Amino acid sequence: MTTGARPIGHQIIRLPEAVSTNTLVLESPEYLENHGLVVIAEHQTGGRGRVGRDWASLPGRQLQFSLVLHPPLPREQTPLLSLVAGLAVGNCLTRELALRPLLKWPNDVFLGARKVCGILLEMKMQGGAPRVVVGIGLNCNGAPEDFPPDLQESLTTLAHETGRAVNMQALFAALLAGQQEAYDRLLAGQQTALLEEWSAMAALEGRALIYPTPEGPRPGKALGITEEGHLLIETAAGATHVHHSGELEWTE
Amino acid sequence: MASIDVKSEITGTIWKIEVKAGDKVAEEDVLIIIESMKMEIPVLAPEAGTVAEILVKEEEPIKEGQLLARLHT
Repeated sequence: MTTGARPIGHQIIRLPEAVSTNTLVLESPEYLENHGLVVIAEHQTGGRGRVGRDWASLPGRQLQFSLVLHPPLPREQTPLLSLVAGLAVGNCLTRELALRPLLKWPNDVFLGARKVCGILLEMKMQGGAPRVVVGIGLNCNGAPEDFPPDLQESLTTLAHETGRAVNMQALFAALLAGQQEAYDRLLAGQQTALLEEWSAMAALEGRALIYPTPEGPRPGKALGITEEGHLLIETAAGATHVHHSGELEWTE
Repeated sequence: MASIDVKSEITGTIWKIEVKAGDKVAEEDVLIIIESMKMEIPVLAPEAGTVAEILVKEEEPIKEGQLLARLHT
């Protein structure tokens, strides 16, 4: 099966600055209609993480971009794009830079105990069809010390981990190719294989964590993921909880 | 006056409620935004009408098929 659409990155809009590339795309019906369009900004003044969290911007030293997808997927499968996008970034870091990335559910990319890449997907209906915007922020050059003091312990950069400056343009091209490959595989029905690869890169089985509930945070242990990409958690009482959304905290 | 049930197509958590009871909405207006696996997914008004009730609250976990709101058309 082919996507029947133009490749991701067939058109790339480069901006010196944007409040948020995701918001810029979501607010433009013309951009949203353009499957495969990529918008990249040197600097994001109001980049967002999940549910409105701030994204720390390092102008010129991060790859911060958004891409538009028109996924011909059933609605309940659409959130799988979230896991697949993270896996594709992880694969790219393995292939291009010989790093050993670790995925944190659903799609944060870590190197050791520090986050190097954040991804946020937003969907909008336009003309009765879903348009998905995948926003990716990857810390390339610079050092953890360049981030605000309260984030220096929890973030890292590729340059810091590899000990070399990163060729950001080459990596950007590889990231787009990687997203295309993973997207094509999902549409071709390779969901199970993708989720197995995701699980292997997440190394989450048995990992102690804290998960949010309406009654407050609770301790548990990761068991794995379901066919839908939801996280299975063993609760303190020994029951199995299916986790769909909300930030997790690793406790080991 | 007809009543329309608005149900969730996915399992996730209510992130934002964009309307309240009594609000007039057009077809495809965003009523609620659900977050699932770090993807934000809007729930739209299937037809123009008035919001009769919102049956969920922000941060509430919801299941696929769960009733979220009722509209009067």
